[in-house]
Amino acid sequence: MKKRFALLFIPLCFGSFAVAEPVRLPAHLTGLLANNCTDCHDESLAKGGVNLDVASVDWSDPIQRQTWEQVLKMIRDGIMPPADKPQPPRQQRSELIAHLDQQLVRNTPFGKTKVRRLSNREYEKTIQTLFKYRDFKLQLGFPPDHITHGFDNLTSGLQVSKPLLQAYVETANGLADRFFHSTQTDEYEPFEYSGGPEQMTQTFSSSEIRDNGKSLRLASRFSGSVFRACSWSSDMEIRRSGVYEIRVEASQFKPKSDEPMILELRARQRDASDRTAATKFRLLGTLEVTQTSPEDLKLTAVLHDGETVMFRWANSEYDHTRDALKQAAVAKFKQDRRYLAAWQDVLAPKKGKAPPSASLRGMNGHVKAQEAYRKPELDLADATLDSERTKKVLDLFARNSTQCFCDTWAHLIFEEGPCLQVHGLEVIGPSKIVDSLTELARRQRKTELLGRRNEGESDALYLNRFLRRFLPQAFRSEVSDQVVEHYASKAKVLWGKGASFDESMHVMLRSILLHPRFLHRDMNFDAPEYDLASRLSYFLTSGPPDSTLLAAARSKAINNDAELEKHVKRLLPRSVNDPFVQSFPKQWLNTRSLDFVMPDAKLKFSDDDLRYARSELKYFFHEILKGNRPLTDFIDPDFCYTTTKFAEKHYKIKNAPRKKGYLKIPIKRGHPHGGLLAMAPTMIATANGVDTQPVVRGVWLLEHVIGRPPPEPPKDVPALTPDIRGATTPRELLTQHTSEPKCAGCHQLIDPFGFAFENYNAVGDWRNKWPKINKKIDPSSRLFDGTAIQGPADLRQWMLKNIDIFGQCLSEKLMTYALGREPNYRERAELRTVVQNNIKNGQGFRELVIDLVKTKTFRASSKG
Amino acid sequence: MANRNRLTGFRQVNRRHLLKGLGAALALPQFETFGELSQDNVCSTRNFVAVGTYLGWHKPAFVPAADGALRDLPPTLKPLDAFKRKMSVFSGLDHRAPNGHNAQSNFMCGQYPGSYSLDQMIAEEIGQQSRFGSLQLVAGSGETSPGKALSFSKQGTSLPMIARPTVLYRKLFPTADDRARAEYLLTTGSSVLDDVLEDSKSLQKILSGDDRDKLDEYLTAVRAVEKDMGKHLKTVHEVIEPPTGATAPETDPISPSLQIEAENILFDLMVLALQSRSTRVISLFLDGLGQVFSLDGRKLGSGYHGLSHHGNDPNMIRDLVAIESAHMHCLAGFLNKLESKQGANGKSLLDDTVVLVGTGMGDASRHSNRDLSTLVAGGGLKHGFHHKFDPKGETLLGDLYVSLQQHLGMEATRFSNASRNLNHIIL
Repeated sequence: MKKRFALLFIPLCFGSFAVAEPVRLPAHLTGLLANNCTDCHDESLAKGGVNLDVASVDWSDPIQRQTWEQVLKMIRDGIMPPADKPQPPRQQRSELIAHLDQQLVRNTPFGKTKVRRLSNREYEKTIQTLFKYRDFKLQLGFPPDHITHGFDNLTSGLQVSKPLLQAYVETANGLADRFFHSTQTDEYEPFEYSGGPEQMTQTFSSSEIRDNGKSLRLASRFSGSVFRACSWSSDMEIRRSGVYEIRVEASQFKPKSDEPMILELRARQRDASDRTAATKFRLLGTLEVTQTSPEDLKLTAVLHDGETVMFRWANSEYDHTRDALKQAAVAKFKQDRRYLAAWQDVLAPKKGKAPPSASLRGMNGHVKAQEAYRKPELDLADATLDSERTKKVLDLFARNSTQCFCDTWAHLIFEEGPCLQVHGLEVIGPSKIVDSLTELARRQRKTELLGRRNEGESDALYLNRFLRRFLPQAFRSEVSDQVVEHYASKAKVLWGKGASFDESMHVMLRSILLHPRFLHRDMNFDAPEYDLASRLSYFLTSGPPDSTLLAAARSKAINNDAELEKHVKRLLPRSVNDPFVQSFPKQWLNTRSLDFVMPDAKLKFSDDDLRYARSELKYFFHEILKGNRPLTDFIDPDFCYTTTKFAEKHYKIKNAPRKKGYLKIPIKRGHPHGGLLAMAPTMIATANGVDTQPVVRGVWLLEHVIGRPPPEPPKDVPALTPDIRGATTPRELLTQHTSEPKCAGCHQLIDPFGFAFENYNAVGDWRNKWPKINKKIDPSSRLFDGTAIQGPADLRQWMLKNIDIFGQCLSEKLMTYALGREPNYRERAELRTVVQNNIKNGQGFRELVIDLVKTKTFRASSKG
Repeated sequence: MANRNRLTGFRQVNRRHLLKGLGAALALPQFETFGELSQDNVCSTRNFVAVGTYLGWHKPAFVPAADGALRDLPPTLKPLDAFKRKMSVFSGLDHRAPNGHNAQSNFMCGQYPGSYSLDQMIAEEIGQQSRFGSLQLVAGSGETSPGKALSFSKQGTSLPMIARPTVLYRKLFPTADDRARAEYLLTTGSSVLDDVLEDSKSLQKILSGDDRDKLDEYLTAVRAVEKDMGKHLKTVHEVIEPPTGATAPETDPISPSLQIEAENILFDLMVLALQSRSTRVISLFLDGLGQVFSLDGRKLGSGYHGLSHHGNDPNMIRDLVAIESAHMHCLAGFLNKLESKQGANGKSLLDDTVVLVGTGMGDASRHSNRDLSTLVAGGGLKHGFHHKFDPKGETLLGDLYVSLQQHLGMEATRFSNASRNLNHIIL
């Protein structure tokens, strides 16, 4: 008899579960099993490792519960018994389902959350928060997390491998360096630089070398990108921060007035981008250039390592702006009609087409105009300011000013003046060394981390004060006096060995950052409130609990419903860029492939389109969360959230508001592109960039929207490849599935959903016909519950009618993301109640999230 | 460095050594493997070097007019005249990647720009025994943007590139300060891990079941890394001597306008890197944007990028080709040095090094990524020809890459969208 209880997935051990009394199955249900199941699932055959030839069940045994849960699911979803086998009567089937459900709910205990390491995303955010280091990014080559059903934070996927630990060690070293490792020394070598115009940088129009390399001419005062109007020494680089004497030899070239020319000297980081605005670089001082013959000028200034000296003519009349160009051009054209005719010849030729403006940028355009100027046959007939051809020239100048013709015009000024000329630069020093910018920043960071040292405070006291503040933040928990003392004594040992305070801190910080309590969650057995605080914080912010939350854990106030609700409201995302909005929808709906997909050129989906589609989901999700909209808005909203351009091009929305960026665009409910089941991001993520795959979309819907993932397909089935389409419709091909009994069970469930999406192509655009074969798409089908649908609109209606199923799935996914595991049967039952209440009371998604956090499922996961 | 206390690393080490800047010599330790120096292991050690431009190669000046044996080289390739028998030119091949600047990384990534690049695949197979699995370098980089690179990891992340010759040299041949610092980090690192193991004992006592397993998994990793550190500590203080005659670079020509100067120095250091067996895989990215060059005393008519949009203007093409042949001059210097150095089995280093020169940009003037001009030199391959393919034909650039991989001892049969090979032509 005992043997018959061994209802199992074959290889197993029972673990440490208490042995409880097996409960007899009601007789009429054993009859059903005997009639419909045990042909394959008896003790001898046990297909799939399942034996249903039993009389009673030990519900306290998790393995047996798991098997029966599987049985329930297979029968409920119509996958078992197989289509070619006798089916149980409807009544008995429902009774079996009800019985199993009741037993499973009654006998499944609430689960616990297991110890697990931080996911990479959480680890990164934790460091950003702990060290107020917003730009911190995991170093390149950091071993990626396993993705399990779309989630990156499931306990089962979060393993610690040697390469990962190696990466933790390197990260800890880098952080310790950032605060406690100075790279500055008191040693330096004398620096003496001397460079002429040949050593200065010339870009499109920034400057020009003249007089056989003796002069560098500057023409424009432009304060934007330095490659337009500034020049700097390309081969000078200060090695040691200090005070330097800077000597410049400069002169005026064809000045227009007596006013001194102002030469601005700025400190340019050698490796800064040439697109950096001139004013971003530190001003060293200004020099007045007053003569047309070279004069020696000098100033003394602090230069830092990595810097070179940059020149800008601060009070030039000419600037890289549309107005300055127009003013300069009109003045020149008035004075020299032939020059106007030359530009007409280039930009408004009488015969043929003007070359593209871009090709006339910089010196090239200037040379073209000069060549035209010299043409003996140049026609001056239209060379008046009011002629059409002049208008065309000035129009093109205006349309391509800063980026193009301002550069070109500078070359005329280089020839005709006025220019400021630089003939040489000398830098000598340092007369005194100063702290480098890197060192100053490091010291400031260090003080911010450790806090300011009190006057006369000993190393030991200072350290103690820091540890008491920092350790609870790092370990996200209470830290006992012993632990503080433990670390303090480590420091003392290091001091005894001759380490300085900073050196000891370097070591200590590394050991804290490699401690299991820093790297893992859910380790607080004696104070489960802290685990709850962390769980809530990582769920909603991907980061560690803040001081308010830690205080609530310390006082145990967090156990109180109202208090918990207060914190949820406080931590819920406020912006579309908050981690929860960035991560959860993408993981829930498994749209990760959007980041890699390259839509086929035939689909006319541009890089911009792809960018918009990638962002749409988070904007959409945030709008529903922020607005506490009902769950039905996920399926059939009265808005879409994308750019005007995208809405018009791909969603065929007319009269969208003309605005820049992403915006909420009102649509009628029932719009063919409204909601999760019809938007570009989900449709692209469920296709392959070239064509649709109805089965993939069907499975996606079942797993991520309905919450009833079908079992894995048998190994011996080939995938349906899209290019078979020449012969017949994909629909006809797939009917083979439903005729093959081995496939039918699942595909009767999957395919009808998949076909309902066929009107959306691989980028989510609407289509009426299948490509290539040019046949009208038939999206109609019969869903597993018998509902006949005509297409996507009906599918949407069906989903709205069954919004509790959707709500259940969404809630389970939220809990999976929060707990790092899938909720168990008992917990799912609790979630069901929450979802039903939410729908019944007409509440919204925001309220659902708040109520989910208050569940026993979320809270009981703590130890203790 | 005499009085080093192996246990603590403190004080006894000259303070200067600990504190002095190490720059990138230690900033990217994850790329330095713990592998042994394989100085003696010289058999079948072929290297791979890839050089790619951001702005393409002007085709009419790069591709020889006739198919078949290389005779009169076109203007861009002129500087390579001495290597006609040690190089092959390929035209008409590409990866069928999308067009546009953003897709330039298709050069080594294949059909999907930004995916696992050829050099990294090779590095994973043949680079692991060297100190550096691979090196990524850049010359002439004025500004960076994500994905603007040649080399991409398996996960599709663009790998950072070294622009400063001084940094590269110090990475190849660490100074005494660098070695002391590395040793310090290992010594203290190892004691930190000891502490962590000690501190975890109390947790081990509380945990049970799955939780205990998770902690054990972590502790196993800690022990493994600690063991590695111990191994590495044995060799970290060994001096890595630069090859005779090598000199450390004194300046860093990182300004975009000094690209050619930088390129020359980097090529020299690449020879040192291969010669010292510090690595077997190197990529060099020849970036280009607004910099205006003065070549042979003449200021060119526009910035490098501006020239690449030549619109068939003869003056601009002349200046563009002047830049591209300057690149080839640098390359010729590199090939020359490789040829003069002894490689494995008594062959020259050039015969041991596959040099792939190309681009992901077929025609920068039109932003077309079709028909990528490609050149392969050295490596003991069958050379001396221009292989002209029909750009619309079946052969893909990836087919060539399959052959190169096989030649380097890998069992590759595919690359990106290509599944054939060109063994009959070059092996």
